[in-house]
Amino acid sequence: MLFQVSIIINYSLQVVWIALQIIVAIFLLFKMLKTKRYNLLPLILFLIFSSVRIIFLVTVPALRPIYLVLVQFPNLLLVIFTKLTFFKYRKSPFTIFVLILIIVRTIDFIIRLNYNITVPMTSELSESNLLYYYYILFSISTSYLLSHGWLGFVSIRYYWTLRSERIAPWIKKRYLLIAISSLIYCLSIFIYYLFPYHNVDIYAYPNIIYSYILVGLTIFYSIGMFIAWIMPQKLKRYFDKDFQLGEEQEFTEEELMERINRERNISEE
Amino acid sequence: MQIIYYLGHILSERIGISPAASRGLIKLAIIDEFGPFKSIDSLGVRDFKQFITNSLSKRLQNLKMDNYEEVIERLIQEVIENQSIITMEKI
Repeated sequence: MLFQVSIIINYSLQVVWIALQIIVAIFLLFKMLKTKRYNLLPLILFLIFSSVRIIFLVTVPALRPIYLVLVQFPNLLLVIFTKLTFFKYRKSPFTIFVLILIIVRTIDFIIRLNYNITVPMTSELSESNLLYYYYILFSISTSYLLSHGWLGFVSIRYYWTLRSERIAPWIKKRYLLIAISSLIYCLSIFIYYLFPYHNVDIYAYPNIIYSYILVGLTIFYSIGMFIAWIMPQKLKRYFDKDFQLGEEQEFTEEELMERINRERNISEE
Repeated sequence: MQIIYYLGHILSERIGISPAASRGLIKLAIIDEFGPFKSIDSLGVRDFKQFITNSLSKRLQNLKMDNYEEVIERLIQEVIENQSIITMEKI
């Protein structure tokens, strides 16, 4: 009974994070079309791919090849989003990150397809294929570090740089939320290393514990991204309660030139 | 728009006029470059680079700013460095 309850809870939590990801994706899609910020497209696709792939894996086992294809793209999409949002016209490690991801994920795809390797394992793994299992762990770690790790690192760096600038605090908090969510989610790679490769029952001890920790971290990440991107007006007002940009004046050409000349004369005096 | 405030603040420090007048100058430069019907909200990094290099540069030259090249270079550098603000504030 307890076992069945734990399975139901686990599935329910998975549904929660998938729903959160899809809601954020739909919200961002509308925003992207409205504001023409097409750099959001890779982030939207990342959210959709990373949620939908689980549905393929859990509901229709025959569609596993589609899952294996979908699983290769989300991290690459997140790297593209980071590049387009933070590093357009700037030097960045983007090209090297993309090359590494393409190579690592291609080998990942071939191994998963041929040796049916998952973390945690769901079928017996022969000792001769152990190397492939560790490669998949390496692939997951590299993908998380280069995608979530990079976005998290860049966001926290901007938060620190802009925190003393006269920019609305809710925008700074958005950087902070993205950074915390991404960096903590990135740390979940360590959990994958804890799964014993010979334990093929995902709901047996200790796999069930690690699965819950992973789902917990994933939900934390989804909630963080949800609040960061779909920040309610009330929360924005709360963050901005001590912040005022000042009244914005509209000038005509003549008024502005007159004012600039006056101000320059004063400063020269 | 936060990025305009941010650039206005930098421009004001560089050319010695008030932030409000600097923002006014930036807004007029945007209208010079793209016309009155393009919303400031729809500007991307490339648009910012374009109007700073062209119309804002011309306006600073007309105002006989000695260091206008240095100011323009700094503003472009700031826009590129802080381009994520454009996305973060729009969502």
